[in-house]
Amino acid sequence: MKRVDPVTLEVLRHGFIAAANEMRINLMRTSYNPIIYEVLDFSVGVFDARGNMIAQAAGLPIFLGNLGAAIKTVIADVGLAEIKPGDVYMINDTYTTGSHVNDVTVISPVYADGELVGFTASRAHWLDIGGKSPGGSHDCTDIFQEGLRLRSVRLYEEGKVNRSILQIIKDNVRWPEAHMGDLRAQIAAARTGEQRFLELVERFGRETVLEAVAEMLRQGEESVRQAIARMPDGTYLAEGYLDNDGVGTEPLYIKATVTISGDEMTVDLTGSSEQTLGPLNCGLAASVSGCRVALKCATDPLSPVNEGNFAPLKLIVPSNSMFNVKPPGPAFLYGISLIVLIDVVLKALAPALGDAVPAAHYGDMAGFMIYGVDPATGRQFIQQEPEGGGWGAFPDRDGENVMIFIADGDTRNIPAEVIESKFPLRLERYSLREDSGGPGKFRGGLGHYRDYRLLADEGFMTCIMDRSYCRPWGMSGGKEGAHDLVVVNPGTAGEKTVMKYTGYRLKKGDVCSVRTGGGGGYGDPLERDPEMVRMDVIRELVTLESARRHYGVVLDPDTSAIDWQATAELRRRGGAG
Amino acid sequence: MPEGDRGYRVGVDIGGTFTDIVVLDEKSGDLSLYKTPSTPRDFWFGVEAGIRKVSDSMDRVSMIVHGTTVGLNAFLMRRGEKAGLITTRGFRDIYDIGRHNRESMYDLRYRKPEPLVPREHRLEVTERLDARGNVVTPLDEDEVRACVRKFKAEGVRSIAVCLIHSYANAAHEDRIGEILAEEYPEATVSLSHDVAREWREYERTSTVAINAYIRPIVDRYLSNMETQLERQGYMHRLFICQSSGGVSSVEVTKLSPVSTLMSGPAGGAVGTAQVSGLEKIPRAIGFDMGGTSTDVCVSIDGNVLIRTEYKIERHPLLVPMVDVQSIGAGGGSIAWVDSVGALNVGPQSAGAEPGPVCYDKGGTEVTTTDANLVLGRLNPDYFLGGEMAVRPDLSAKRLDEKVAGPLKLDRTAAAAGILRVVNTKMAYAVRAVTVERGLSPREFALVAFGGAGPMHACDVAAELEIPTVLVPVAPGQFSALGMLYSDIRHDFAWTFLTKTREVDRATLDERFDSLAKRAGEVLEQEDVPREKRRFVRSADMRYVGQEWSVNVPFGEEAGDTDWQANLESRFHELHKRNYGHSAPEEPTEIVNLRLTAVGLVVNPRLRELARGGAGPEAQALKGTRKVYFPSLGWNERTPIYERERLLAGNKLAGPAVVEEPGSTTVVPPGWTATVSAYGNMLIRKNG
Repeated sequence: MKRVDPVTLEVLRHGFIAAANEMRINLMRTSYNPIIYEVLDFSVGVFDARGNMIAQAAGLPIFLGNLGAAIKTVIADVGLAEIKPGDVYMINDTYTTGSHVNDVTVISPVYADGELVGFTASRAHWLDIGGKSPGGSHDCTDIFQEGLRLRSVRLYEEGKVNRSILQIIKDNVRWPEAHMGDLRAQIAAARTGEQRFLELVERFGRETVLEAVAEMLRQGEESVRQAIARMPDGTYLAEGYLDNDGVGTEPLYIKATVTISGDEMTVDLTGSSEQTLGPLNCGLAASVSGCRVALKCATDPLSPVNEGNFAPLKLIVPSNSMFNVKPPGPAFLYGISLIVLIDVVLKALAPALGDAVPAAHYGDMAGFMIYGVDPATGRQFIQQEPEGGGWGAFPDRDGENVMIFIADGDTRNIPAEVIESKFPLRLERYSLREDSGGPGKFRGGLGHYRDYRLLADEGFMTCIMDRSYCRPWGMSGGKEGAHDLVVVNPGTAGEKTVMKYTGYRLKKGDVCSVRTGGGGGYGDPLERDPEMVRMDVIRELVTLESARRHYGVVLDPDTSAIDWQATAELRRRGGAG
Repeated sequence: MPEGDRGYRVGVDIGGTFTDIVVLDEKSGDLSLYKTPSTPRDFWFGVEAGIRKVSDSMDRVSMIVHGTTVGLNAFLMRRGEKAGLITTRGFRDIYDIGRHNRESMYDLRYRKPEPLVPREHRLEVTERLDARGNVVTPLDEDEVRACVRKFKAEGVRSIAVCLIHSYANAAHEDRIGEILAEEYPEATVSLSHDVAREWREYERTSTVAINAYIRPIVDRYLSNMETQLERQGYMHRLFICQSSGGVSSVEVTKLSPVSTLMSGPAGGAVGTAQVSGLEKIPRAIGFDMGGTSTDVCVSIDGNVLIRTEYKIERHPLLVPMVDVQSIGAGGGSIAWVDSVGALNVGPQSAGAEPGPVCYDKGGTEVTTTDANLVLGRLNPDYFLGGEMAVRPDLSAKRLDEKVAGPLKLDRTAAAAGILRVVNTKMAYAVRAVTVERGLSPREFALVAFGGAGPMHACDVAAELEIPTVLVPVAPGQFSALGMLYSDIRHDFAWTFLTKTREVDRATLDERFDSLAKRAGEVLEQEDVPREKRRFVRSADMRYVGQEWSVNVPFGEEAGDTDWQANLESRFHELHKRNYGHSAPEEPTEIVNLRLTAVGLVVNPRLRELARGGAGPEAQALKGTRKVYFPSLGWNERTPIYERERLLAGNKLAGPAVVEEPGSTTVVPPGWTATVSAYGNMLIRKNG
């Protein structure tokens, strides 16, 4: 094949990235649903005629390179010959696209001069897709309870909408008007991508564009191969657990065996738990995304991505694994499993990456919601958001306090002043949780206290907290961080700790204190500079008692001055823990 | 308050390397430009040296407008004052937690912005309001006094106060302010509702904390400058550029220096609006290409788009600023070939030190400037008007070694490739800026300034199918010139959440009137006569339950019975423009009331150029040079013009190059430049 010149290649690369970016702008601008424009739960991209990603603009990291599987499914289901210009397809099939049924992907082919040159696609989280409870639930035991399933459904046939399909969707989702608005936004985004793709073909010619795409994928592959080749060959192993599957009580086991061989990386999830009854399963394509996120973090976190980047990555998953869910298994909470999978793969890679991998972050969705009827309006309200926690320490610095988990990237919390303006709730505390960071030479970041008081007569609380069995781990002798939990009415006779619960009944004045976990520590805490421990105590990030027990540092309770002699003595004895 | 025809109007723009001084004779419209090295140790010396060039005595100077980066630098270099923060009990860590998002998603080493006030200086007091401003828990004044003792003991002298829901009721913050004034008079106090009366506690805390952090430094700087100017005989008020594109007196600026932080790009934005208005161009994109970055802004019908929230190094600020997007590409952007053989330009920049290879100051990385020099677009003998010697041979050598060799291209193709890539990047970034705002770039003209803007503008415009480029007078010092056109401006906001249909007009008018009263007092203090005062009301609105709001002009029509319907229909229309759809049947709500108070400054008129013929005078032609254009190849005898000698009405058909001390304009083949009556060059695509 003729090689495209390097300047044209660069112009086209920017053209495709800009096309994906413009799709993103378009989707965010025109969607109705805050989970798209505020929580950024979406992804868009431009693909070649085989479904290989040329450029992607992701909202969430978890969507890294997972749209291609949807396109490949449509191609296989419909057949290339039957895919016509002007068609639009919808797919939300868990078993082929990997994620939960709320993630609806809209795909349209791009034709130039009567020939298929590529696809554009957008995926967005729909607030509701039918199913047994509004928004989704944590205790479904099969996919039918989770909502409407759409697989390679042709919504537009050569530019003409199929009204029957729209009707089926409208009749099977809650808040249909908003969802129809979001669907229109997704279609508009796909059309924007198509138009930009065609402009590039018009300007540079089909041949040149296709040659450039092939070269971009080759370069993408080559750069990751070089990065993997720099890691020492070997087999690296790590494991982790989830508390339970939401329905049962047994922990779920996650085991990753990562093999670096020359310029290739293989992740083998053999040995991980089998498919579970509750919704913590992952589709295979989502498991691939999780490993892609880990590879991306480990090799080249800042540059744009294309399909080529992931060619050197192989994933082995047994067919009965929780990471390869089969019909009719549920998967609504697949995100929690992915968070831990990403952390486990990174932990496995730590010896190969030297100092680049931190201790574990709080590693949980910490999903929390309160709902009920607002006495001021007589209407149903729901306050729902994932909560942030502490991140892991590095060999050279402490972990960050309170940030959102790795799968959710750039999503933001809701300010107290906004919550209190909308709902019968008062946020009474939003502050760092002392001693939640894992002790270490460098300390894990802290989680938070976020205390909600219910002001309505009655309400219900649902929470999905995990990682009490396998707390956020430390590295190189660092200790683990605290885990997430919810304490109802703390400090009263009725105080109660809750981990996973749907619809916990609350009455007026009840307080739910959401306490999130901290990051793991890095290195032996007895080696932490006593001066840093002293500052941690002055800043009330670490208690006097913990300073003594974990760090072997003795401080004067009044002046916070270091008792050097007592400290040396205590540290020689290996601390007071 | 200047009358507009008394004497000199002076703009002083202090940058990192140079201080630009622009002097306009109000009577004749004559413009003089000066550049003098900035004196970082004490900026005043640089300014003084500049002003001395204008006049021995200052008594003919009628107005000085000053753009300062003192506050910005104190923030960027973290050399602010030791600051403290008082918050509602339970919320001292909001400043650390922030919005808990991670902007760089895959970067495991990502860090949140670090608070300017460490945890031990963030203190809590017992008090609480609800969202309507009702007192849930009264303020514990003893606890405030305990804070004072702690701050005194720790030597904290600049104190920020941010309480939950203080935008709805400022009583507790005000009371804390009173107690601090009594108990700790030597401290400066910044109350969050004074700086930004808007909801969202993290953003408001960040805003007031930055204010407290830089305030004593800006205060000292401005006091010093006023004293010096007075000593020199300057008898009028000194005005300071604000991020909003307006100017404010020193007194007002000292209270809220946080509103000057982004005033750097504001001058260019105001200039963009002014010059496009002058040339009767309704829609303009400002394209300010400098050494390390390119600033893009949008002006519609003579008004620069403003945003009410932005971030500086990821620290949020709730103060209005001109809506400028910065693109990481400029004259110093480095071209490099990566390990898989792809050509990249930027985002790294060679900056001013060591700078491009051709500066011969030790730079070894090929930059956009080197590529321009190798292609003959830049004149090696005319850098900074000939004051700086450059070495094109060094550029060529490094270009061969670092780019052409690895890519197996010849030198010319490599240099042209670098420009093509950087122009493509900038074009896509400009397009994103417009489509994000629901606008189409094709309807705009590109106003190009900054050292490198006029050299790249036509190529970028061509990518965007923009048919007109405007290169204003003094493109290299355009920001300082733009300052002279700034009106006095103060912005006030008040978060007031209400359903549009459930509020009566009198309640809103009462709130607007109270904002106007406060604004009027400020303008009074600045001696703005009543007939020069303008008050512009607007409301941030959204559909009930939505997150983002749209700023909607609020009608002044008193007694308008249909005001709700009119307001809502304006909202639907703007929503459609911004977001592509509207839902006229949905209920709407008001989130914030905003009032902009303007003190009109008489716009000075520039002197018109003498009129010439279509062909430029022979003396305007400096000579010819070999210049490379992608569509022509090497053009041996490209005419080079001296901008100063062009006359109104002159037409220059591309290929041509126009040189002036601070900038170079390239007119490519297929474009024609026409000099306007005011000396601006309008470059249009032929046909």
